[in-house]
Amino acid sequence: MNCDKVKQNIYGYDELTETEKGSLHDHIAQCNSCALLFREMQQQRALFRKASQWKDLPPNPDRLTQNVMSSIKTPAGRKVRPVGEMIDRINLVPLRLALTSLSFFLIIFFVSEYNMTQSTSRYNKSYSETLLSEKKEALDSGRLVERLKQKKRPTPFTSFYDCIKRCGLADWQYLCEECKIKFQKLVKKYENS
Amino acid sequence: MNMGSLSETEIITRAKSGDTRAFRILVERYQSMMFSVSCRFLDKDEAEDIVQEAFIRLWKNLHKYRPGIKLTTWLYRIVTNLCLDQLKSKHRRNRFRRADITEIDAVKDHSTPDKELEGRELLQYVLQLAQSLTPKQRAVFILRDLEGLSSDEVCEVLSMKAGNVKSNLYYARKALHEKLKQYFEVKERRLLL
Repeated sequence: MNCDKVKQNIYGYDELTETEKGSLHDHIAQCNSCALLFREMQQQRALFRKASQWKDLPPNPDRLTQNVMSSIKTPAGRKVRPVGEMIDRINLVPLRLALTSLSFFLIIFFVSEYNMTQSTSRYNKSYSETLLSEKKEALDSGRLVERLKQKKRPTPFTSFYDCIKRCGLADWQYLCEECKIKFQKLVKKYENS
Repeated sequence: MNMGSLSETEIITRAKSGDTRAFRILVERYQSMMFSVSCRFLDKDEAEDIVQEAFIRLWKNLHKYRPGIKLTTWLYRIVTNLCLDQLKSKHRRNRFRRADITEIDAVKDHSTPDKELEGRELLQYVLQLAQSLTPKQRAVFILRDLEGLSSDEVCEVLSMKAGNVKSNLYYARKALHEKLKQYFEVKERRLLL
Protein backbone atom coordinates (compact mmCIF):
# COMPACT_ATOMS: atom_id res chain seq x y z
CA MET A 1 0.00 0.00 0.00
CA ASN A 2 1.45 3.40 -0.96
CA CYS A 3 1.49 6.46 1.29
CA ASP A 4 -1.20 8.38 -0.68
CA LYS A 5 -3.69 5.57 -0.27
CA VAL A 6 -2.77 5.17 3.41
CA LYS A 7 -3.21 8.89 4.05
CA GLN A 8 -6.61 8.73 2.42
CA ASN A 9 -7.51 5.82 4.68
CA ILE A 10 -6.24 7.66 7.76
CA TYR A 11 -8.76 10.47 7.13
CA GLY A 12 -11.55 7.93 6.73
CA TYR A 13 -10.33 5.58 9.48
CA ASP A 14 -13.81 5.04 10.97
CA GLU A 15 -15.18 3.79 7.68
CA LEU A 16 -12.51 1.10 7.18
CA THR A 17 -13.03 -2.62 7.60
CA GLU A 18 -10.94 -4.58 10.10
CA THR A 19 -8.70 -5.95 7.32
CA GLU A 20 -8.09 -2.44 5.95
CA LYS A 21 -7.32 -1.19 9.43
CA GLY A 22 -4.83 -4.06 9.90
CA SER A 23 -2.92 -3.28 6.70
CA LEU A 24 -2.93 0.44 7.61
CA HIS A 25 -1.34 -0.31 10.98
CA ASP A 26 1.26 -2.50 9.26
CA HIS A 27 2.16 0.45 7.02
CA ILE A 28 2.37 3.09 9.75
CA ALA A 29 4.66 0.83 11.78
CA GLN A 30 7.24 1.35 9.04
CA CYS A 31 6.40 4.84 7.70
CA ASN A 32 7.11 7.85 9.92
CA SER A 33 5.17 10.49 7.96
CA CYS A 34 2.04 8.32 7.86
CA ALA A 35 2.46 7.51 11.54
CA LEU A 36 2.62 11.23 12.33
CA LEU A 37 -0.53 11.92 10.35
CA PHE A 38 -2.28 9.00 12.08
CA ARG A 39 -1.35 10.40 15.47
CA GLU A 40 -2.59 13.86 14.54
CA MET A 41 -5.82 12.45 13.27
CA GLN A 42 -6.30 10.51 16.49
CA GLN A 43 -5.86 13.76 18.40
CA GLN A 44 -8.27 15.49 16.06
CA ARG A 45 -10.86 12.75 16.57
CA ALA A 46 -10.50 13.07 20.33
CA LEU A 47 -10.91 16.81 20.06
CA PHE A 48 -14.08 16.46 18.01
CA ARG A 49 -15.44 13.89 20.47
CA LYS A 50 -14.80 16.31 23.30
CA ALA A 51 -16.37 19.19 21.39
CA SER A 52 -19.43 17.10 20.51
CA GLN A 53 -20.20 16.55 24.20
CA TRP A 54 -21.23 20.17 24.51
CA LYS A 55 -24.83 20.62 23.45
CA ASP A 56 -26.58 23.95 23.23
CA LEU A 57 -30.00 24.00 24.86
CA PRO A 58 -32.90 26.22 23.84
CA PRO A 59 -32.87 29.36 26.03
CA ASN A 60 -36.59 29.10 26.76
CA PRO A 61 -38.01 25.60 26.03
CA ASP A 62 -41.54 26.47 27.20
CA ARG A 63 -41.74 29.47 24.92
CA LEU A 64 -40.42 27.40 22.02
CA THR A 65 -43.04 24.69 22.66
CA GLN A 66 -45.74 27.34 22.91
CA ASN A 67 -44.64 28.95 19.65
CA VAL A 68 -44.71 25.60 17.87
CA MET A 69 -48.11 24.65 19.27
CA SER A 70 -49.65 28.00 18.35
CA SER A 71 -48.23 27.77 14.83
CA ILE A 72 -49.65 24.39 13.94
CA LYS A 73 -53.09 24.21 12.41
CA THR A 74 -55.85 22.40 14.21
CA PRO A 75 -56.30 18.73 13.31
CA ALA A 76 -59.65 19.58 11.78
CA GLY A 77 -57.81 21.73 9.25
CA ARG A 78 -55.81 18.71 8.16
CA LYS A 79 -58.82 16.48 7.81
CA VAL A 80 -60.55 18.86 5.41
CA ARG A 81 -58.28 17.76 2.59
CA PRO A 82 -59.27 14.17 1.88
CA VAL A 83 -58.37 14.55 -1.81
CA GLY A 84 -54.88 15.78 -0.92
CA GLU A 85 -54.34 12.90 1.47
CA MET A 86 -55.61 10.45 -1.13
CA ILE A 87 -53.14 11.88 -3.66
CA ASP A 88 -50.36 11.62 -1.09
CA ARG A 89 -51.14 7.96 -0.66
CA ILE A 90 -50.83 7.29 -4.38
CA ASN A 91 -47.36 5.94 -4.39
CA LEU A 92 -47.59 3.65 -7.38
CA VAL A 93 -45.11 4.65 -10.04
CA PRO A 94 -47.04 3.09 -12.99
CA LEU A 95 -50.21 4.88 -11.92
CA ARG A 96 -48.37 8.16 -11.67
CA LEU A 97 -46.81 7.59 -15.09
CA ALA A 98 -50.23 6.76 -16.54
CA LEU A 99 -51.74 9.92 -15.05
CA THR A 100 -48.85 11.99 -16.39
CA SER A 101 -49.21 10.57 -19.91
CA LEU A 102 -52.99 11.07 -19.75
CA SER A 103 -52.53 14.69 -18.80
CA PHE A 104 -50.06 15.16 -21.68
CA PHE A 105 -52.54 13.57 -24.07
CA LEU A 106 -55.32 15.86 -22.85
CA ILE A 107 -53.11 18.93 -23.25
CA ILE A 108 -52.23 17.95 -26.83
CA PHE A 109 -55.89 17.16 -27.59
CA PHE A 110 -57.15 20.50 -26.30
CA VAL A 111 -54.44 22.44 -28.11
CA SER A 112 -55.27 20.76 -31.42
CA GLU A 113 -59.00 21.31 -30.80
CA TYR A 114 -58.39 24.95 -30.12
CA ASN A 115 -56.39 25.34 -33.35
CA MET A 116 -59.15 23.63 -35.33
CA THR A 117 -61.82 25.89 -33.81
CA GLN A 118 -59.72 28.90 -34.64
CA SER A 119 -59.34 27.91 -38.32
CA THR A 120 -63.09 27.09 -38.66
CA SER A 121 -64.13 30.40 -37.19
CA ARG A 122 -61.71 32.14 -39.56
CA TYR A 123 -63.33 30.32 -42.52
CA ASN A 124 -66.86 31.14 -41.29
CA LYS A 125 -65.89 34.74 -40.93
CA SER A 126 -64.58 34.98 -44.48
CA TYR A 127 -67.65 33.17 -45.82
CA SER A 128 -70.06 35.52 -44.05
CA GLU A 129 -68.02 38.49 -45.28
CA THR A 130 -68.43 37.25 -48.87
CA LEU A 131 -72.18 36.86 -48.41
CA LEU A 132 -72.45 40.30 -46.93
CA SER A 133 -70.54 41.86 -49.82
CA GLU A 134 -72.81 40.06 -52.29
CA LYS A 135 -75.88 41.41 -50.53
CA LYS A 136 -74.40 44.88 -50.48
CA GLU A 137 -73.70 44.61 -54.15
CA ALA A 138 -77.23 43.43 -54.75
CA LEU A 139 -78.62 46.37 -52.80
CA ASP A 140 -76.62 48.84 -54.83
CA SER A 141 -79.42 50.76 -56.67
CA GLY A 142 -77.64 51.29 -59.98
CA ARG A 143 -76.71 47.67 -60.34
CA LEU A 144 -80.19 46.58 -59.25
CA VAL A 145 -81.83 48.58 -62.02
CA GLU A 146 -79.36 47.14 -64.48
CA ARG A 147 -80.16 43.65 -63.33
CA LEU A 148 -83.89 44.32 -63.53
CA LYS A 149 -83.44 45.64 -67.04
CA GLN A 150 -81.56 42.52 -67.94
CA LYS A 151 -84.16 40.32 -66.42
CA LYS A 152 -87.10 42.23 -67.96
CA ARG A 153 -88.67 40.08 -70.63
CA PRO A 154 -89.21 42.01 -73.86
CA THR A 155 -92.89 42.48 -74.79
CA PRO A 156 -93.92 40.74 -78.00
CA PHE A 157 -94.82 44.04 -79.48
CA THR A 158 -91.54 45.69 -78.78
CA SER A 159 -89.88 42.62 -80.03
CA PHE A 160 -91.97 42.71 -83.22
CA TYR A 161 -91.09 46.32 -84.01
CA ASP A 162 -87.52 45.70 -83.18
CA CYS A 163 -87.61 42.73 -85.46
CA ILE A 164 -89.22 44.73 -88.31
CA LYS A 165 -86.72 47.46 -87.71
CA ARG A 166 -83.87 45.02 -87.74
CA CYS A 167 -85.01 42.83 -90.66
CA GLY A 168 -86.93 45.31 -92.79
CA LEU A 169 -90.35 44.74 -94.34
CA ALA A 170 -88.99 43.59 -97.65
CA ASP A 171 -87.52 40.62 -96.17
CA TRP A 172 -90.46 39.70 -93.93
CA GLN A 173 -89.92 36.01 -94.72
CA TYR A 174 -86.70 36.26 -92.68
CA LEU A 175 -88.53 37.35 -89.62
CA CYS A 176 -88.59 35.08 -86.65
CA GLU A 177 -91.52 32.72 -86.35
CA GLU A 178 -93.30 34.68 -83.67
CA CYS A 179 -93.00 37.94 -85.56
CA LYS A 180 -93.98 36.24 -88.82
CA ILE A 181 -97.28 35.09 -87.29
CA LYS A 182 -97.94 38.55 -85.92
CA PHE A 183 -97.06 40.13 -89.23
CA GLN A 184 -99.44 37.81 -91.07
CA LYS A 185 -102.17 38.70 -88.57
CA LEU A 186 -101.58 42.40 -89.23
CA VAL A 187 -101.71 41.84 -92.98
CA LYS A 188 -105.02 39.95 -92.63
CA LYS A 189 -106.43 42.72 -90.47
CA TYR A 190 -105.40 45.30 -93.04
CA GLU A 191 -106.99 43.31 -95.94
CA ASN A 192 -110.25 42.87 -94.06
CA SER A 193 -110.46 46.50 -93.24
CA MET B 1 -55.15 9.85 30.02
CA ASN B 2 -51.49 10.11 31.03
CA MET B 3 -49.53 10.58 27.83
CA GLY B 4 -46.21 9.98 29.55
CA SER B 5 -47.01 6.28 29.95
CA LEU B 6 -47.46 5.77 26.20
CA SER B 7 -44.72 4.37 24.00
CA GLU B 8 -43.18 6.56 21.31
CA THR B 9 -44.97 4.68 18.51
CA GLU B 10 -48.31 5.20 20.25
CA ILE B 11 -47.59 8.90 20.74
CA ILE B 12 -46.69 9.28 17.06
CA THR B 13 -49.83 7.38 16.02
CA ARG B 14 -51.96 9.67 18.18
CA ALA B 15 -50.24 12.79 16.82
CA LYS B 16 -50.72 11.43 13.31
CA SER B 17 -54.45 11.23 13.90
CA GLY B 18 -54.44 14.90 14.92
CA ASP B 19 -53.91 14.73 18.70
CA THR B 20 -52.13 17.99 19.55
CA ARG B 21 -51.40 16.83 23.13
CA ALA B 22 -49.42 13.89 21.75
CA PHE B 23 -47.62 16.19 19.35
CA ARG B 24 -46.74 18.50 22.23
CA ILE B 25 -44.94 15.60 23.90
CA LEU B 26 -42.89 15.04 20.76
CA VAL B 27 -42.00 18.75 20.69
CA GLU B 28 -40.93 18.71 24.32
CA ARG B 29 -38.96 15.50 23.87
CA TYR B 30 -37.01 16.40 20.74
CA GLN B 31 -36.63 20.18 20.82
CA SER B 32 -33.28 20.03 22.68
CA MET B 33 -31.79 17.61 20.19
CA MET B 34 -33.02 19.65 17.24
CA PHE B 35 -31.85 22.91 18.76
CA SER B 36 -28.41 21.46 19.42
CA VAL B 37 -28.05 20.26 15.82
CA SER B 38 -29.27 23.60 14.45
CA CYS B 39 -26.75 25.45 16.63
CA ARG B 40 -23.96 23.50 14.95
CA PHE B 41 -24.97 24.99 11.63
CA LEU B 42 -26.32 28.40 12.58
CA ASP B 43 -26.39 30.90 15.44
CA LYS B 44 -28.83 30.55 18.34
CA ASP B 45 -31.51 32.97 17.09
CA GLU B 46 -31.64 31.32 13.71
CA ALA B 47 -31.57 27.88 15.33
CA GLU B 48 -34.72 28.63 17.31
CA ASP B 49 -36.58 29.64 14.14
CA ILE B 50 -35.31 26.52 12.39
CA VAL B 51 -36.54 24.25 15.20
CA GLN B 52 -39.96 25.90 15.09
CA GLU B 53 -40.14 25.54 11.32
CA ALA B 54 -38.97 21.92 11.56
CA PHE B 55 -41.76 20.99 13.98
CA ILE B 56 -44.36 22.69 11.79
CA ARG B 57 -43.03 20.71 8.86
CA LEU B 58 -43.15 17.53 10.94
CA TRP B 59 -46.78 18.22 11.86
CA LYS B 60 -47.73 18.83 8.24
CA ASN B 61 -46.04 15.65 7.05
CA LEU B 62 -46.79 13.39 9.98
CA HIS B 63 -49.39 11.51 7.93
CA LYS B 64 -46.51 10.25 5.75
CA TYR B 65 -44.83 8.65 8.75
CA ARG B 66 -44.38 4.88 8.53
CA PRO B 67 -43.58 2.87 11.68
CA GLY B 68 -40.40 1.47 10.06
CA ILE B 69 -38.77 4.91 9.93
CA LYS B 70 -36.77 6.08 12.93
CA LEU B 71 -38.25 9.40 14.07
CA THR B 72 -34.87 10.86 15.06
CA THR B 73 -33.49 10.16 11.57
CA TRP B 74 -36.50 11.90 10.09
CA LEU B 75 -36.06 14.86 12.44
CA TYR B 76 -32.36 15.05 11.60
CA ARG B 77 -33.27 15.14 7.94
CA ILE B 78 -35.80 17.96 8.36
CA VAL B 79 -33.49 20.08 10.52
CA THR B 80 -30.41 19.49 8.36
CA ASN B 81 -32.27 20.38 5.18
CA LEU B 82 -33.64 23.56 6.73
CA CYS B 83 -30.19 24.50 8.02
CA LEU B 84 -28.58 23.83 4.64
CA ASP B 85 -31.20 26.00 2.92
CA GLN B 86 -30.50 28.76 5.43
CA LEU B 87 -26.74 28.39 4.94
CA LYS B 88 -27.10 28.56 1.18
CA SER B 89 -29.16 31.74 1.36
CA LYS B 90 -26.71 33.19 3.88
CA HIS B 91 -23.81 32.22 1.64
CA ARG B 92 -25.45 34.09 -1.24
CA ARG B 93 -26.03 37.15 0.95
CA ASN B 94 -22.48 37.13 2.32
CA ARG B 95 -20.72 36.55 -0.98
CA PHE B 96 -19.63 40.16 -1.19
CA ARG B 97 -18.78 40.47 2.49
CA ARG B 98 -15.54 38.47 2.52
CA ALA B 99 -13.64 41.34 4.15
CA ASP B 100 -15.99 41.36 7.16
CA ILE B 101 -15.60 37.61 7.64
CA THR B 102 -11.82 37.84 7.62
CA GLU B 103 -12.08 40.57 10.22
CA ILE B 104 -14.26 38.37 12.47
CA ASP B 105 -11.82 35.47 12.05
CA ALA B 106 -8.96 37.68 13.13
CA VAL B 107 -10.82 38.75 16.26
CA LYS B 108 -11.73 35.22 17.24
CA ASP B 109 -8.35 33.71 16.41
CA HIS B 110 -7.62 30.77 18.72
CA SER B 111 -4.60 29.48 16.82
CA THR B 112 -2.27 30.34 19.70
CA PRO B 113 -4.24 29.29 22.75
CA ASP B 114 -2.84 30.25 26.10
CA LYS B 115 -5.06 27.68 27.76
CA GLU B 116 -6.62 24.44 26.61
CA LEU B 117 -9.98 24.91 24.96
CA GLU B 118 -12.88 23.52 26.92
CA GLY B 119 -16.58 22.81 26.44
CA ARG B 120 -18.53 25.41 24.56
CA GLU B 121 -15.42 27.37 23.57
CA LEU B 122 -13.89 24.29 21.96
CA LEU B 123 -17.08 23.52 20.11
CA GLN B 124 -17.32 27.11 18.92
CA TYR B 125 -13.73 26.93 17.71
CA VAL B 126 -14.35 23.72 15.76
CA LEU B 127 -17.57 25.08 14.29
CA GLN B 128 -15.81 28.29 13.34
CA LEU B 129 -13.21 26.24 11.47
CA ALA B 130 -15.98 24.26 9.82
CA GLN B 131 -17.42 27.45 8.33
CA SER B 132 -14.78 27.26 5.61
CA LEU B 133 -16.22 23.94 4.38
CA THR B 134 -18.88 23.62 1.69
CA PRO B 135 -22.42 23.16 3.05
CA LYS B 136 -22.40 19.45 2.17
CA GLN B 137 -19.00 18.79 3.73
CA ARG B 138 -20.10 20.71 6.79
CA ALA B 139 -23.32 18.71 7.08
CA VAL B 140 -21.49 15.39 6.74
CA PHE B 141 -18.86 16.45 9.28
CA ILE B 142 -21.44 17.68 11.83
CA LEU B 143 -23.63 14.61 11.55
CA ARG B 144 -20.81 12.06 11.50
CA ASP B 145 -18.16 13.56 13.81
CA LEU B 146 -20.13 15.83 16.13
CA GLU B 147 -23.53 14.14 16.29
CA GLY B 148 -22.03 10.65 16.13
CA LEU B 149 -24.42 9.27 13.52
CA SER B 150 -23.36 6.12 11.65
CA SER B 151 -22.39 6.37 7.97
CA ASP B 152 -25.66 4.71 6.96
CA GLU B 153 -27.67 7.19 8.99
CA VAL B 154 -25.78 10.10 7.42
CA CYS B 155 -26.58 8.67 3.99
CA GLU B 156 -30.25 8.46 4.92
CA VAL B 157 -30.45 11.91 6.49
CA LEU B 158 -28.72 13.66 3.59
CA SER B 159 -30.09 11.35 0.85
CA MET B 160 -26.56 10.75 -0.36
CA LYS B 161 -24.72 7.65 -1.57
CA ALA B 162 -22.15 6.02 0.71
CA GLY B 163 -19.28 6.96 -1.62
CA ASN B 164 -20.40 10.56 -1.71
CA VAL B 165 -20.58 10.74 2.08
CA LYS B 166 -17.14 9.16 2.34
CA SER B 167 -15.51 11.63 -0.07
CA ASN B 168 -17.20 14.65 1.59
CA LEU B 169 -16.02 13.40 4.97
CA TYR B 170 -12.49 12.93 3.65
CA TYR B 171 -12.27 16.49 2.32
CA ALA B 172 -13.86 17.92 5.48
CA ARG B 173 -11.48 16.11 7.83
CA LYS B 174 -8.49 16.96 5.66
CA ALA B 175 -9.38 20.65 5.54
CA LEU B 176 -10.01 20.77 9.29
CA HIS B 177 -6.78 18.89 9.97
CA GLU B 178 -4.77 21.51 8.13
CA LYS B 179 -6.44 24.24 10.17
CA LEU B 180 -6.03 22.39 13.46
CA LYS B 181 -2.42 21.43 12.82
CA GLN B 182 -1.17 24.69 14.20
CA TYR B 183 -3.24 24.17 17.33
CA PHE B 184 -1.81 20.69 17.84
CA GLU B 185 1.75 21.90 17.27
CA VAL B 186 1.39 24.57 19.94
CA LYS B 187 -0.23 22.09 22.32
CA GLU B 188 2.50 19.51 21.75
CA ARG B 189 5.20 22.11 22.32
CA ARG B 190 3.51 23.04 25.60
CA LEU B 191 3.43 19.37 26.65
CA LEU B 192 7.13 18.98 25.91
CA LEU B 193 8.06 22.00 28.01
